Amino acid sequence: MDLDPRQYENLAVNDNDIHNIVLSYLIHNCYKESVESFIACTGATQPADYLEDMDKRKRIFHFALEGNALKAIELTEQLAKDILENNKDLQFDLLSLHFVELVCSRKCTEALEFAQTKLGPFGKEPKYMEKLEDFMALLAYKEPEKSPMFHLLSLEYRQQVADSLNRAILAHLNLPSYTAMERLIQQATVVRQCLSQEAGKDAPPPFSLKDFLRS
Amino acid sequence: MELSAIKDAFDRVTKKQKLSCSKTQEAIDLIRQEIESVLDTLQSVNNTDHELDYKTVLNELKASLLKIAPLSQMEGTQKELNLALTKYGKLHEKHFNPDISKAYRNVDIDIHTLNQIIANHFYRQGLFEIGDHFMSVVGELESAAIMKSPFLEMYQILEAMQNLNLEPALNWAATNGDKLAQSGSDIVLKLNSMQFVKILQNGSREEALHYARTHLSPFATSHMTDIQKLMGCLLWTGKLDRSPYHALLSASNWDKLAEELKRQFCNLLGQSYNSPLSVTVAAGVQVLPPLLKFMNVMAGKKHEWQSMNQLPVLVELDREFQFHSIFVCPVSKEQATEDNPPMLMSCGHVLCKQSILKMSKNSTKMFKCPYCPFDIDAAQCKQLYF
Repeated sequence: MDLDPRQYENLAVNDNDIHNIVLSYLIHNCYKESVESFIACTGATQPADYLEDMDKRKRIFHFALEGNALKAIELTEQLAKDILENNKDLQFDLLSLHFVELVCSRKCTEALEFAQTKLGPFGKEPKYMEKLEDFMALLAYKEPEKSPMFHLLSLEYRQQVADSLNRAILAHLNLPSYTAMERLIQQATVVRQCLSQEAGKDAPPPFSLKDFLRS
Repeated sequence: MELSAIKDAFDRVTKKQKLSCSKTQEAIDLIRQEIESVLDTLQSVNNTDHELDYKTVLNELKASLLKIAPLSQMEGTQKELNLALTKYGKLHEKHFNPDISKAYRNVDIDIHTLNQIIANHFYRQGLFEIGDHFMSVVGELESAAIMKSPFLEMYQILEAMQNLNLEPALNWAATNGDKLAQSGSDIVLKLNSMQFVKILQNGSREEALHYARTHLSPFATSHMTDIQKLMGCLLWTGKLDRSPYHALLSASNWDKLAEELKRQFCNLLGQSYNSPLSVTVAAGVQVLPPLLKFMNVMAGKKHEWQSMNQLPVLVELDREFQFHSIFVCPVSKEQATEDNPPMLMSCGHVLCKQSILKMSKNSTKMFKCPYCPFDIDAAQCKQLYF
């Protein structure tokens, strides 16, 4: 048993709000063509510099996702000069992406040189030590893909770093780091869980986003 | 052994000795002062025209010396010192009784085995010349070479390690790698780690990386944390002493590694880490005092002690001398022996064989376990080996 539709179907939702929610999601994820199509179809208006920044962000995001961290760093510094200086964690993650790329390319001597010059200084801070050891351990394996640290070579890890970088740039541009869509889903899920707990045994089943999207 | 009592007695002797010494010195100083005073008087009279009655002066000196009474002063403290010394001597005799014959029984010892134990001790201590000399004196020189050769190899490895050369140790580890792995030892990793750190400290980054990929990578899955730390060291090539890993450079690591190597070497030879002789002596030192004390109390019952199967008193031995468990039967309250071994019953509880035989009427009937409601068949009980 789900919530009774009569409880919410009379609640008016403004089309503009929905357009803005969708648009913010598309902009956040740098879907430039989709943004342009969406604006053309709905007549929604967005400042021009959003599109320009989005183009740069898209390139940065893709470079990070491909593991070309040095290019991502270069473009990030062009877009927002001090963003990495003020975010050591992100700087470390990007540099380590490049290190991983060198290891995967079997350029071990180069990787070691890079680690010593660029990653080494982070070793003075205990919070980076463990991560550094994980990355350095990749060098012990002739086939790092088969090492216990294989997750550091995965697309998921690069995606994670690329997402962090994207959020940092958005925050720097005074844009929301998280999309309205994400926030709404998170909030709706929490509200449904709370309602479920309050209602006790008469409560509808726990909220599942997957099931909701199917219905 | 109550060494504190002996120390206290010794301290009392030294205290009395110091007191006696200072009292004697005081008396001598007073006598000297009196004599010097008289000499001054005589001297001053000689320098003038006055006449002096020498007899009177000397009588006065005699009187003042009697008044000081140095002998009686010194006698008192000397008596106290002698008393303390006598007490100390008696206490010493009581605690350090050289006659240990009461606490042992005469057992026929195979002299050949005893010689082997002594020689083995010399060789495993690295005292090869003494070992050889001993074996030649007892006329067993032919077996010396066989006993000595593995320890010669061990000490060559250890000597090289003292000179910070790990090559012989690494060769030994490589040769015996499989056996060491079977015994659950990680000394191969420890030796290779030490060599890796040594290469790093010399500042050769590429060589260290190559070494790690060749010799450390086989351990990368089983000892991941160690490998991560070692690989982290690569970031500090040539300056490890200023790195978070500076502890790896501690000289004590070499000592620990040498000890570990010695332990594993002996293990592969099928021998204990400590020589049987040193273990026996060390355990004996702990056991003798309570046994001597007991035998002094039971002085008249010598024959009983000679025929006993186990020690007549509970002797607390340190952990390093406990090589196997002992079992005391919860029914008979007796310690298990070879003739009366511990037996595992089908319910999982353990009793001594004789208790089981007694309760099962010589294995003719089932009986209830004294600890649980199980019915036990004596025929199904299995002997336990500790």
